Amino acid sequence: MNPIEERLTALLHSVTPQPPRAVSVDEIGSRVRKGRTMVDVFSMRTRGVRWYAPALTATVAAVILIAGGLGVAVLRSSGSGTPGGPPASPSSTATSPVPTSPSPLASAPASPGVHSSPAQQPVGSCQTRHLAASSVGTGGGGQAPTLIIVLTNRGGSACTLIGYPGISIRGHTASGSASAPLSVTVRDGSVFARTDPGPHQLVLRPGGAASFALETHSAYDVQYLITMFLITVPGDAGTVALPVTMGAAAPPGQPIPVGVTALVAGNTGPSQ
Amino acid sequence: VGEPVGFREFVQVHSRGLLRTAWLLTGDWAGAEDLVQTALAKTWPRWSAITRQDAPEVYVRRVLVTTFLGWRRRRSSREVLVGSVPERAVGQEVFTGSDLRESLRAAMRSLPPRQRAVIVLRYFNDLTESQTAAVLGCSIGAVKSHAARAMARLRQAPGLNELLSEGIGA
Repeated sequence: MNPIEERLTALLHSVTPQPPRAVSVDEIGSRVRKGRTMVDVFSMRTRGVRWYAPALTATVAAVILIAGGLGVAVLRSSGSGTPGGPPASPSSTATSPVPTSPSPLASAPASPGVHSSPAQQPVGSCQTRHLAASSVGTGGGGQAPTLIIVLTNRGGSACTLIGYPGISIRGHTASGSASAPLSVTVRDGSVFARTDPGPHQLVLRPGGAASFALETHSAYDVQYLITMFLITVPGDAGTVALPVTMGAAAPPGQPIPVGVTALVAGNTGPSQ
Repeated sequence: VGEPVGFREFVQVHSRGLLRTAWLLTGDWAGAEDLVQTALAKTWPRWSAITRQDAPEVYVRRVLVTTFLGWRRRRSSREVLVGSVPERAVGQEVFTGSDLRESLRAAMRSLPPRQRAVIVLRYFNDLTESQTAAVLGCSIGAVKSHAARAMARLRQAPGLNELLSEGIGA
């Protein structure tokens, strides 16, 4: 793929919304039982413009918030041809308890545009379409390449972030060149270079940033080159695309292990 | 007609991916759900054969795309009678401002159905040119020309032109 095609791919994956609800097998069954003619009538009926996206967005957001709160990582199967498949819970994912209401002790270091939430502030979850992602390499440990990934609120109003980001990846083998979704297992917690601060509720004012550390493993050799991270945040169904070039390795036949810390305020990631 | 063995599990695993694919094709959730349900209903009577011979998701996606193209063929003759489509205006009421998602939706809708299908299969479903050609029942050359025309059009689209221009470094 050329760079433009890569960008279109990233755009389609990150901007295509998550469906408001699953397909009902029972509805399909009733269509089938009504007979073939009925199926054709359905298929020909004018599908007028019925926009129920806004009303259902909140439902989706709530579901994702729950999924995100449980530390569920996104597992993408490579080559299955079903990008955006349902999240699975990989066995090695550590879950961290996420407080349903912010603890008064859960204060994050002050930084411009960001502060820890002083309890019930009526601010919605950050929507990925208003978040911009950027990254800073830290070098990490010798066998643990590490990035600090910064999410900046480009929206016009404050929003909240809490807990661990979800990660899916695109890339290719070290000898290949065509990027595709790669299987990944995301572990929440400390990484070699940074200590996990645990989940905090953060409020991002417009222009404010939050960040987290992400590491891969490259034990002696790099088997994969990651070309794109697709980042999800609790409370929104979309993803933020971040083009990168990052090496990774995985045990034979296993998904690529990636570690992420919880989000902290500011653009420098959690402390060591 | 009983529910085929394994059908429910397949739908649970793949419905999100199929719905997102269908959203890109139809541009709205009502159409996407209708399309996915119709495609799955078509596979229902043949399910055991489908699971025996091929990766079912490949087969279902092929039915999804061909069903979509069939709808478009039938509807295109009707659209002359209907006149201008109010979809754009309704969309703008719901999505205000420069919403990237709305830009994508509008740009996809501006593409002829086959070009749209090629873009979705190649760049969202990650199919190769030959796999895309197999789904659409056309030549690889036709896939290439649809993709090139669609890409040129998307790169002109309001809201997408900057993102898809040469100048941006990753």
